[in-house]
Amino acid sequence: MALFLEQLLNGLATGSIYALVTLGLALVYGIMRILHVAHAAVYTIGAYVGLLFFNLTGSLLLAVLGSMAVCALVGVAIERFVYFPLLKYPPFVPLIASIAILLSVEELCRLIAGPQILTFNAKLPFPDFHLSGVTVTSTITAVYCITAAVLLLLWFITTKTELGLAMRAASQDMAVADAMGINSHLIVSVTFVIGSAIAAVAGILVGIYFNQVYPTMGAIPAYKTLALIVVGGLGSVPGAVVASLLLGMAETLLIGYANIPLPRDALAFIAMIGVLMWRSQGLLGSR
Amino acid sequence: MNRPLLEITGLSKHFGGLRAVDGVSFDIRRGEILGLLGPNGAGKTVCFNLISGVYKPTAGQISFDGQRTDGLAPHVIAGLGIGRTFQIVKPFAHLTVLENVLAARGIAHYRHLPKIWSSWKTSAERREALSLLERVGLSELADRLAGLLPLGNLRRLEIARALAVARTLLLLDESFSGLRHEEITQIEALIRSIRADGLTVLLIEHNMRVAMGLCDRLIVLDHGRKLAEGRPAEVRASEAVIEAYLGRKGSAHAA
Repeated sequence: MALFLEQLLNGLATGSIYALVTLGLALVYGIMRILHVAHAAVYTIGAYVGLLFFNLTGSLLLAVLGSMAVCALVGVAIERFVYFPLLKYPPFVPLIASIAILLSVEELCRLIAGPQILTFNAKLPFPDFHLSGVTVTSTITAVYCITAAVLLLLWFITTKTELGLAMRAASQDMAVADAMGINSHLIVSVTFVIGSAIAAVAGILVGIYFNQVYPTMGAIPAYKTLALIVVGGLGSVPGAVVASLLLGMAETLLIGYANIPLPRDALAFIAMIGVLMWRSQGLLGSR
Repeated sequence: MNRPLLEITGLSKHFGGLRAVDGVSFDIRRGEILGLLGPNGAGKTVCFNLISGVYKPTAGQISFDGQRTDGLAPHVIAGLGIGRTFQIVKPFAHLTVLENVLAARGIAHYRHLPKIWSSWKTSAERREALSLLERVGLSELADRLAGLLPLGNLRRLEIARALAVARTLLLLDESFSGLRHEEITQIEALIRSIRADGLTVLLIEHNMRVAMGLCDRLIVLDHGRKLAEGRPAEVRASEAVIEAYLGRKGSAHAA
């Protein structure tokens, strides 16, 4: 029982990290209808920049803040200089550009930092928990707390603030939002700032969680998050979060219990195929 | 203050070889209800889109209160106090009726960096939005999702939303189309009361009878050019209009 609970808690942590990465993708799809594959590149940059700042300053807080700032800039640059000029073309054009960015960033990281796996030896300032045989490590506690804080903040921004209202309006119809005086393009940029800053946090968390930072760390998240936003319902942020948490737990339990010779990363795609066949709008998507 | 509110001079918009609007000039005077008439494809909605900044003109000028507005972004033009509706209603379907108006009411803030922490539910904003809804007769439905409303209510919602933006000029694109007779009468009364509050109204209308009864002046467009301009009685008498728009003389009286 204790083992099962521990597996479940680990799975929830994995799912939380998936959620942090997928959020940006869901936000961007919601407002721009672009599959932002390069979001995984932003996440990779987040991990590298976080590690760099951590090694330079020794402060995890500075590393996180610095990385969030750099990723926000990278995200806005991708939006302004790549996606925006390509919006007039069919959606596969920005998608191809997005894949190109992902590959370029991987190669850039390899060139600058080397192909080897770097370690991220940081201790997250969160406590361990021991409850009747179940151990929750400080890293997992950190993942929970940070994910909860990010989700809460995002919920607050989108439902309670003027900015959030403008974001929701612009994501439904940018032309109408413009006619109502909302600077939709600015709102799109703000969306990229938010999504990319969250990706930076996710990159650093993953770096510390697995104690690994490497050039292709974004490859699996790149396609897994795509599957997740489809499962959750394209454009639905709550759907993306629910799908991420479920997948994290399903993967962990599958590896822990079922002796199926199935690579864990295939599960996301089996779920995606299932959802497309039985509920094509996704778990929480609307038609 | 005798200068017209909006001055349009030699306005043209060409899409490839199509001259959708071709050298049109007219003024909108302060406090009037001006009607823009014309058959389908005459260039009425293109004119609207030029005034509200959706399109940039191929040639010509638009001045609002003495300031050139052609070439400005749509949200900047909205920020000047020009609000509009859409011929095919475009509510923010996943927002509530109240949120639709609040989104437009945020106009004062959107011009600057968004005030992230200012809650839009604060009382003043909410009160103003609710009073706009009351004005168009939708306050009972404030918490409904806009996407679920029938057409008549959506037309009212669009007017409320445009009013949230329009401090000076309200652009109405066929606000009567698809409505029942009683609804038309109610919205006519609403438009008159809006004008009585000091707003200037430019409306596109297909229904001749409504336009003749409601507007102080009419501009008739045909094939992107201005065919006639004047008081409803003058326009009704114009030979060119009768031929181009109303058909032959006999049917003009019927309309």
